[in-house]
Amino acid sequence: MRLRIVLIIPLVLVLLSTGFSLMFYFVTNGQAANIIRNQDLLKVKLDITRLQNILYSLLTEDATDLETARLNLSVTAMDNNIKKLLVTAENDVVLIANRYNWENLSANSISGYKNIEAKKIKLSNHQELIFADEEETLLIGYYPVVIKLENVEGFPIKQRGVLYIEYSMENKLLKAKRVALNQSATIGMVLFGVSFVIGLMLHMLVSRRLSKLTLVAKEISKGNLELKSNLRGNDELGALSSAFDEMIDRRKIAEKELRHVNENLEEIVEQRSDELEEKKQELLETQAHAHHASKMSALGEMAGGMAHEINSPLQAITLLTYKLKKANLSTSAEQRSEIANRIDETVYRISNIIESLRKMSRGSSSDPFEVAALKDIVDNVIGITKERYFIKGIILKIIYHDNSETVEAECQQTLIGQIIINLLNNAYDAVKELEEKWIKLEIFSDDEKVDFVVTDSGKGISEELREKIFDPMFTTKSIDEGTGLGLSLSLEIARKHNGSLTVDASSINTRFILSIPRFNKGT
Amino acid sequence: MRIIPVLSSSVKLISVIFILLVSACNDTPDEPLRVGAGPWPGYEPLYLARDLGFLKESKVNIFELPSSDITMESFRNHSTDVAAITLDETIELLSEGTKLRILTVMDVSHGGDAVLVRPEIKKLSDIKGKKVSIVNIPLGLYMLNRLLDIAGVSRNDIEVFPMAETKQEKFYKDGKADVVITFEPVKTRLKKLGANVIFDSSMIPNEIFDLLVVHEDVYLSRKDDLCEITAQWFKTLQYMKDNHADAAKRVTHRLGLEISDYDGLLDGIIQPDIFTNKKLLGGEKPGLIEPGERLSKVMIKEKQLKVLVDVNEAIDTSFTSCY
Repeated sequence: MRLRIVLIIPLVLVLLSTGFSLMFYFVTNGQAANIIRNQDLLKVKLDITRLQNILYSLLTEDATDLETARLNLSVTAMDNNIKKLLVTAENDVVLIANRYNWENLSANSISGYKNIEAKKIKLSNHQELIFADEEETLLIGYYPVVIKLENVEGFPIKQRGVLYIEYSMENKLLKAKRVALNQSATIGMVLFGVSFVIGLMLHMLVSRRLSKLTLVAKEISKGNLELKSNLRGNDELGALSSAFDEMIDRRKIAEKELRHVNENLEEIVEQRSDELEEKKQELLETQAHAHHASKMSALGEMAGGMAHEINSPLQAITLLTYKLKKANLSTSAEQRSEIANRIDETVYRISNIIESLRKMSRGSSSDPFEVAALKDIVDNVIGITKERYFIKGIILKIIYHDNSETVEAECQQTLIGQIIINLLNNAYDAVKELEEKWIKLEIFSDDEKVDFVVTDSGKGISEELREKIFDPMFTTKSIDEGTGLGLSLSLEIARKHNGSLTVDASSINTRFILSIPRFNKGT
Repeated sequence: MRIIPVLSSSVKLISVIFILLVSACNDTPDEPLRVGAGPWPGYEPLYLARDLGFLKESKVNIFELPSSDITMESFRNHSTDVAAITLDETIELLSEGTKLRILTVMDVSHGGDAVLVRPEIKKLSDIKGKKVSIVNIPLGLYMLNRLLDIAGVSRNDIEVFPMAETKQEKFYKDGKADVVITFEPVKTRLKKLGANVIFDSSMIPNEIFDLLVVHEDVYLSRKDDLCEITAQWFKTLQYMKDNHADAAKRVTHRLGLEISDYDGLLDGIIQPDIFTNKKLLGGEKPGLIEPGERLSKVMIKEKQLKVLVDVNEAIDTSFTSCY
């Protein structure tokens, strides 16, 4: 059950009407009762004093006319409210009464009559003694009457008798009560009827229509948009209903559109997914190409250096071979052996260079993460590049800090080497034409990470360039010198190692910092 | 949310209270019916019924009146709703245009109405030249005319003094009348003073009826209460038969007579029972119509009436079915 607000107003009216009816009843009945008591008191006084006068005339003559007195008493008693009307002699014997069978009886035998009260009248000068009984429904009156009756000796003497009346107000009070009850009930009924009509109107105009709106709202919440409120009327609820129905219409249209979009969405998503897959594939291929191109570029750059790197030992071998051919008997076996050893060492040196190059060219992003000594990484890189610096007069310094030459790191060794080569190549290109030419590779390490810091004698990178140098295809070099992918790919590799590659803006020289964690499984 | 059943119940309860109140108010009890009756043995069962509690005072209030003239007058002027009066009084009221209904034939006088004379008057013709006291109701005149007819005496030969029956005893006692046309209980009192009955209603049987009549408007609106009165009337008649001593004591005390006078009082009247009443007031031709016509004709002859009165207009034969 729900609390119906529309019931509250009629209910309050019903309670008020009941209260008002009750109050009206008590007030009206009380007032009417007072009026009746006052009027009846006056009426009794008037009627009885009139009778008193008549009786005085009839009963004080020498020949007491009891018959006429009885007639007057009987006529006076022709009132439904007079219950008892009698005249008693001094000795309380009833002389005449409205009931003839009371005559000649002692008045004390008649209920209601009290000789004590009668005595008060007879002995005093009271004109009357009239009062209401305890229930205030009966007026009891004692009035003095002078009667001339014969005494035992037969002489007529005046006596002081009593005219006694009992006048009932019960019927009038009852009628007044019923009238008051009738009026209050009528008022109550009218107010009750009004309450009922108000309740009915509220039910018709508000409750029923709200119920319909609630039903429609519930159906909407269930997803049923087929039901409409369709409330008639130009009032607020009518307007609400119109707005509600309009909302339903709009929602139906929107849902229809949404359904249509949903139906096409899958197709579109599938299409976009395909396109995305294609793009991804293209990107991967491009990345692979770029990676390869970058690597090739780096290797190409190294080629010049490597030519010298290999050429010098080869020249040394040529010279030593010539020496060995020209050896004669004066040449001792020790000298020959030394020459052979030197050839051997030189070949070994060439072999090392080629091995380093092979390693660098072979590495790829699919290599596993392995524990590698930092020194090996650096040595591999330096092994294939150091000759270039020497040729150009560039001073290359390798500095291990924090005992880093003994430190190992979990990484893709070849790819980290490629980053360092990239950084060194860039440094090489930057300083090769400068007067002050130096490149410094510093290795820092702690328990968690390793930093490879490449600093050159260049004057740093402007703020504007710093923002772009890691962008793919961006380069400050000529087309022949760079692809623009080196730093971009290096950054990608660093990120893959959960590390970073940054430009140290605080350095007055150009300074790149490659930082990777020591323990790494990659991303 | 229990408030709804409570509210609903409250509304229903208040509705029922209002409906009951309104219906109770519409059922306002009527005033007691005012019945007027004079002293006459035939009316005594009325007082007896009241004193025995057969008639409820909340329904019926009997005004005891000292004489038949005031009874008729109080009925005429609507001081009473119901009255115990004679058939001739009823005819006179009808002739005046008073709308009334006869409820019951209370009694038929069979000696209760009488002409009493001083002992020296021995025969009817002796009343010539005498002073005659008659009751000042149509019955008095009717009895006088019947007496003069039978006695063969002219109205001019006597001196007539109409008065209330209450004054007749003293009038006779004071020597102011030689002949008294009266009825019980004055008849018994005069007999005790030495007067003799020279003529009574037993000599003109079925002419003097005593009836309980009601005003037409009251009849139409209070039929149930009236029916109750008649029912209690017959119940009291039965009581008087079954409880002779108690009835005698009560009746004679009220009439100011000796208990020994009781049987004499009843001898002068015939009180029709239910069956006889139904014959007199019910059926296709109510038995009261004929004596009514006869009385009406006599009254015309005696110049008490100008036109013939049809008693039938005061009879509703269906009423007899209620008792």
